[in-house]
Amino acid sequence: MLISAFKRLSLLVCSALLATSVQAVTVQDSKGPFSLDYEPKRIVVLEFSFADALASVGVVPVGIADDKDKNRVLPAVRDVIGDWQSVGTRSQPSLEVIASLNPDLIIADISRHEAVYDDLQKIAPTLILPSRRETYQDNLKAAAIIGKVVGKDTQMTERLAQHQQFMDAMAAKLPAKASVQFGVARADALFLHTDDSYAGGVIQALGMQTPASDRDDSAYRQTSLEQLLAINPEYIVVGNYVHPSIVDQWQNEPLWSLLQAVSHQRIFQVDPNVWSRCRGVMAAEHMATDLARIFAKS
Amino acid sequence: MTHPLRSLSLGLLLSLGLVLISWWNLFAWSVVPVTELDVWHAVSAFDSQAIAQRIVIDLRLPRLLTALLVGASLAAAGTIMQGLTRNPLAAPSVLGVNAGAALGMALVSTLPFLYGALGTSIAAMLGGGLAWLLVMLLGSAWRMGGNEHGRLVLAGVAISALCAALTKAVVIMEEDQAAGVMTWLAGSLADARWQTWQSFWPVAVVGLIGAVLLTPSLNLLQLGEDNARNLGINLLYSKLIGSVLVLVLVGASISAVGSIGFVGLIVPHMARLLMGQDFRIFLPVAMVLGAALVTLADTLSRAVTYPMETPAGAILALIGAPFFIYLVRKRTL
Repeated sequence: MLISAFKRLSLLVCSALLATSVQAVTVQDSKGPFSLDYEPKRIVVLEFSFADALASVGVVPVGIADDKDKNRVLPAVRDVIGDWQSVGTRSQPSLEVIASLNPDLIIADISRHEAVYDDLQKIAPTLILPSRRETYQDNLKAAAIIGKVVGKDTQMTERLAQHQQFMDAMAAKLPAKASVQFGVARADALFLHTDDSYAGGVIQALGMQTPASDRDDSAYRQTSLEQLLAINPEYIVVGNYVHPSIVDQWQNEPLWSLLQAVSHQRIFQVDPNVWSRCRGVMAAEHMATDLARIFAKS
Repeated sequence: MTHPLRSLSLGLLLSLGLVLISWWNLFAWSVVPVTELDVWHAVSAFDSQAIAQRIVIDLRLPRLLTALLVGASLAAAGTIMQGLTRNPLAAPSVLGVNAGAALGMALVSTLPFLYGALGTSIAAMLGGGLAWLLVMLLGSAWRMGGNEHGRLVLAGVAISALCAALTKAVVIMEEDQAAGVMTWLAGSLADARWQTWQSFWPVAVVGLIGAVLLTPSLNLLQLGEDNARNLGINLLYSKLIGSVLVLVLVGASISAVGSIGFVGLIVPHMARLLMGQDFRIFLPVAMVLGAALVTLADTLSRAVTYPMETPAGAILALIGAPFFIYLVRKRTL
């Protein structure tokens, strides 16, 4: 009697152990090994690229650091995840609001949130990965890690393969090796996204070139009209955060007309929010579609 | 008393130096190659389709002229401030004007409803003016015979710190605008165009002429306020005119190129070192020196992180800080 009870108990313990060992995942994040032994249900993400990764495999976060502006989240991502609670800005997310959501996983950005990493850990297990200033390749790696942690490894692998096919198909529609320069324009400054930037990586992944390179590997470079003339790209893609932006002002200057992209009318406008703030599989596909549309017209 | 011949030869030497630095500024460290010959062609036989010549005419020339006038204005403003307060540490950057202007600028560029109402130049002047007024009140500089020079500098440091803290808070809250405001805070001539020049030079020239006209009063003020009053100077009137001139000169410079420090602080000392104590002589020399220094800093601003640009204000701080320490060590203050 006692023995059979003991047997039953040990069987139960064994099966419980087995179950957790099946579910427990360990990945390498920016701070070292990260383990989770359950499938997270209430996830808070502190950058748009993480929301993109979750939406790519149909996982819905409860909170997003969306700069208190829901329109900043990529429309395609919004379509998948519906509504969410804003947890403040990406640069200063509100720890109180995050805690009030009672999350079981937080995904944070090593560039922006390393200083509050310990505070976040106290609220919930925090997976910290690169997002701001990450490259296209970094982002794919981060998405794969997120897939593992949220228990959607297979789906994420499939989604990334599908993404690769999509990008290859788009690349076929675009002129190989054309030099395409993306930049965001504010009222008083133009920032070129160099070959180390996310947008630069997307352009390269589409078989084209990004002329602005940087000696100190920074992703965004403030550029004067003179420097833009020195780079003189074949195609210029601009996201204007405001109108009139500095690019609008430059258009009245004689020097502007000496740019080859201007004299051949190869200067195009895109949504600065998508191209500069959003990163991720879905964002990259949005950007590729933009480029295909632009080049089909030109 | 400085010998007139020595003053004249020094003045000529300085002017020659200024011309050489200006010439160098037109072609040195260009991302698009610009040669001395291009500069010559641009002014003698201009070809509008040649990129190098267009750069000289459209970018370099307004940039150089603005640099010259900004340097002269800031040096004159510093000289007036030191003369008015009889304080060797007085300068727009020390007495809160730069920090106040920066706060005004940061506020309008991050708060859209203010931007529509004011524009950055006016905001910079308002901010600078308010900060200066506060510093003068706190430092009791208006009180007749109020001679507590240390108090004025302390008030300046306190108001500067307050404005800087508020500016940082604004920048943190509106991260998107941060890069633009930061560039502006450091002061850069890279975006100075003919448009900038056109709205800048009339104001600055009026301020500079006013500064020259004020020099006899400044000379008398150095004898002490009681003596100056006995010699027929209206103290309140002189101080008011001087303060308005400082605001005009600094406000115009700041709205043209951003906040540039150190020129107003160190150049008057350099000029006094060379030319003696007579404001009528050393103020013009300070203008020439200031113009040369800012132009030099602007040229170097293209060299330091070539092919990118470093704000000229940062270069000036690099040149200015050691020089200031040297001045303090030599006890020439």
